Amino acid sequence: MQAQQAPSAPLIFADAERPLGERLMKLALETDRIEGYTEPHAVMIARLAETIGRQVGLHGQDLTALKFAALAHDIGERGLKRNYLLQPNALSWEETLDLWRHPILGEQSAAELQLPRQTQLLIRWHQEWWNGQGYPDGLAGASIPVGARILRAVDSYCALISQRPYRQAYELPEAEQVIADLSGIELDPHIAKLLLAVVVAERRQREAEVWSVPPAFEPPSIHAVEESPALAAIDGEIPSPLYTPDTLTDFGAVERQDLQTAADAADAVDPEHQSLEPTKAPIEEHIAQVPEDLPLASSVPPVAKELEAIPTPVALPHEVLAAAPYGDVLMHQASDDESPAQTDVAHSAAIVHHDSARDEQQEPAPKIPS
Amino acid sequence: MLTNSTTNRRWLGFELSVLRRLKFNSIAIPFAGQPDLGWYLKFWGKQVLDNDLCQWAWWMSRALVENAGEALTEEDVSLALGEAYVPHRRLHNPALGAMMSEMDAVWFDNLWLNVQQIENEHRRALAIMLALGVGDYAFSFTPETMELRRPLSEAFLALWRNQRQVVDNGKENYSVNRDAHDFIRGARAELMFVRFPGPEGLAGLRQSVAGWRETWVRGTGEAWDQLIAAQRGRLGDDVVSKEHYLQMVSNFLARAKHIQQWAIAHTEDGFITAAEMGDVIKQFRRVDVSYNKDFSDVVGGRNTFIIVA
Repeated sequence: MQAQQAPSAPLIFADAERPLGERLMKLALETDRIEGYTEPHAVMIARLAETIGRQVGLHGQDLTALKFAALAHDIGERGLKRNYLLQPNALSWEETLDLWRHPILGEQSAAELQLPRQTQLLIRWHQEWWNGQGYPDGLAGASIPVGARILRAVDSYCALISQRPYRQAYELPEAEQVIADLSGIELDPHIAKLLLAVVVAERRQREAEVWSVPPAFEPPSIHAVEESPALAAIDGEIPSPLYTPDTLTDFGAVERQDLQTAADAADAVDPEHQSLEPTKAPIEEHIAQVPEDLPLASSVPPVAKELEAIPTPVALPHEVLAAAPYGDVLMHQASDDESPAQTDVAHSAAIVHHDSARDEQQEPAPKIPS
Repeated sequence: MLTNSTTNRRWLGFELSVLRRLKFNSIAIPFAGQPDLGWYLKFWGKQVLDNDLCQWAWWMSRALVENAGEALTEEDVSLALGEAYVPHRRLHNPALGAMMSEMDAVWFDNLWLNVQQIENEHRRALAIMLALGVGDYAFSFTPETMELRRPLSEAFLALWRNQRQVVDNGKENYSVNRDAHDFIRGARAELMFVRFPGPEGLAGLRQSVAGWRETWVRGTGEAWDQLIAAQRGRLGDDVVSKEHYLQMVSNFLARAKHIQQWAIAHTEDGFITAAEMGDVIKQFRRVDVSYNKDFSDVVGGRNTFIIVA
């Protein structure tokens, strides 16, 4: 199902991008495997991110940096090497906080790979939320670079439509609904709107293609149609406000789709009443089951679906989290007469090696460069 | 666009990176703003003393830092959202009417009255924190994206279901709503972590997220003017010269001399350099080490330092 759902257009690199881009493609596939993705997740993100990036006016090096960041966005998870990434249940808070280090580790790995600095920072900030509740830096709103906001949106969407170790893939319309619900919370509403326009258009195009390609789809035979309740309606036995016999004579892809919708509706007809009106009984039953004293719970949007199990407050083993490094800084010891500005040395791979080593230690002593 | 900070732009991941390297058991944060740092430090077993002049930050800190395990229940949520859309004859907080649509103003006005009925103060703080998040949510939409906006009660529920775990780390953690100078003079902690307010002061944040938040929690449109007046001559006041700003920094640090170690975050914004900040610190004690992270390769990024002294 996921393979059918996933946007399948190839990712195109310009000549100048190709060597590094193809290298990152291989790396992305390996990272996807570590994360438990069964489809080319990072490639899908890169393609969508490029599309959205163009729409917001990115071009040249900015667009290249975005594509590279999309391919390598979860490269930091390679450094985690934690079993919980593939476990079928939701993460504990200890595991969640450990996982939250991956953008910083990703930034460091990107520096090791000598990716552009802009790409490194986009990787660092691809988990920042529009409302400031993301990680690692807690940036909010327009403080988050637009490339990182694009990555956040397309990463969320592509994760939703992919099967994960802890849940099934969302159907495309369902995923689109979640993206809409996350707007203003996790996602920049403007970026979310652009993304929705792209993915909805792609979905409709694919659906139209499915209906218009005979070898891949066997349209119902006239005989089969005649037997269906839908045709009964169309033939006038049961009046339908939607379909009349002449609409059957020359219908295109859209009409076929509508016909299928009508057939689906007919499937839900109560046989005793033989009405083409879709039955409302299940919905009414659902509403009736909602306790009166919890009127609000029934309106919880799907956004909360994955996170319904809110952990109850507990005292946590501090040592678990104390061992989690946040190693991404450059440190210099200052002499009495040395000002901090004199210690300014830019970020670079030099610190990466230092901090990667820290990852394996429990309480490392700070290294002070001589 | 609303901004989301009462102090300089924060870089939480960088700050945590540095604090991970320092040995301390207790920390005082005089300009806390968003209490995320304190929340993380609680996970690490540290005793956290959070302070902010703004009441919205204080309520959020009470919810996440001072709170030792209380969680917002379904009953609390039902109480908070009860008849939230029902308009009364007039708004309890008329200033809301000038900041948002009539329907939104009614919702926030009712919610404020409703959450006062939650008896447990930490659960009440959690409800206020969620409502502040709903406000940020409401303000994040433009006419072009309004179609994506959900009803405010639904946004409240979504935030409630996604809220962070309330941590009990077995320590007495405090949240204080005082002027930072008064707070730090009485704070007893092994480490002080500071992000100083920017030179634009509170006046520059009137149109920010902080502006509407303070208006809502204080129940008056004059809240921001009152804060500005209270900070005349102190950090949080707006200044136009380096000398004036650095003098205010110096005055503040003079009140923190009793705290064993300082970690002072400074983001270079073209006004005060890290070197100048370091010079002020050295009036009081030796600078041990400075940590640097350069985010300036992208628009909005800055070169950031944390100076440990």
